[in-house]
Amino acid sequence: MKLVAPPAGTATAPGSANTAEAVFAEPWEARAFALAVTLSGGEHFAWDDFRDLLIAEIAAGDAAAANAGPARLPDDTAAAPYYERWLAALEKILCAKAMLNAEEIDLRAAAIAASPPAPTKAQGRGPIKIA
Amino acid sequence: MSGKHRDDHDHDHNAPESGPALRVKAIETLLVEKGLVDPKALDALVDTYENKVGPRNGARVVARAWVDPVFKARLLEDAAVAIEEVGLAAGPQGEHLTALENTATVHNMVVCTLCSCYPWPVLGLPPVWYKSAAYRSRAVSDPRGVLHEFGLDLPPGVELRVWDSSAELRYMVLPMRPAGTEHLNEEELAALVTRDSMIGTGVVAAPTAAGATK
Repeated sequence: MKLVAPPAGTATAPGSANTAEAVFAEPWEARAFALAVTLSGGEHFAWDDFRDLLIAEIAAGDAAAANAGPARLPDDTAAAPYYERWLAALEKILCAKAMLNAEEIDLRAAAIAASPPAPTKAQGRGPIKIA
Repeated sequence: MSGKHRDDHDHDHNAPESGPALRVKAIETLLVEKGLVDPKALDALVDTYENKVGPRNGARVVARAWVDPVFKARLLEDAAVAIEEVGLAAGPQGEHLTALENTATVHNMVVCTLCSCYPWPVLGLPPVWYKSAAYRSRAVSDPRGVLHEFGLDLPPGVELRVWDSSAELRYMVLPMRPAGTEHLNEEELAALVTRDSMIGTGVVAAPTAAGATK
């Protein structure tokens, strides 16, 4: 099993401590990250409370992946499962702390899914450029 | 994630969003309406970790330690305090930062076996591979094999120490200063330091090699 296959010149580009890797693969990952970090700094729960749930979700995910067959290569596709586990841990702690409940999340998600996309700035206006 | 009824839905019925993106949006809008979270605070946090905090911070710490032995001593004594001297704040996930010094005889390598603990203030958020099951397990079971895959083969005489991060202890590696860098100033040295060298899955290359790539 090959562990890492960063595209040459990106992950460990000499001469830079920065990388070409995006911090978040999808915008929702950033929101889920920010929600957990912001809330864990407040009165509702501590970071360690969240981390315990995250560890449990990751362990469950590892076990499921191990049962599913050969380990996945940790390429970019591994990013989504990590933040899905993060999101699962976030939902669990929000519900455990009675900040939200699963039913209202389901309802809200369904409502958002059913609603038409909000018009963007470009829609309903004229051309943004004529040259 | 659970909820069988959700899996019965077709996630692709022209919904504006689906799957986890939809779920997160639902959670965020509910929390905002309840006054439990400020969307501006979320925006600011995302901006911080996407644009402001990253391995460049750690590189400045390393370069300072290379040019200033007194700073280096303070860094190894209490990294969380010492990094303030280069304008960094310990902040979240950095409260108990420890710097591990690589030498000619000892190489340090950092992992979080249970999840993804990482020294955010100096390195930003961890790369994908750091969070992978393969790295989390194999950094312990076969660390030299892992380093080989990163292109790093330690001489047999070098002791390899693997450190498991936790909520209480975050580690950064202080890599060895490459030979032939005596003429470089602190800023130039910082430009040589890679993220992986501060996790311990790489070393800092001499400037000639770095200059050749770009």
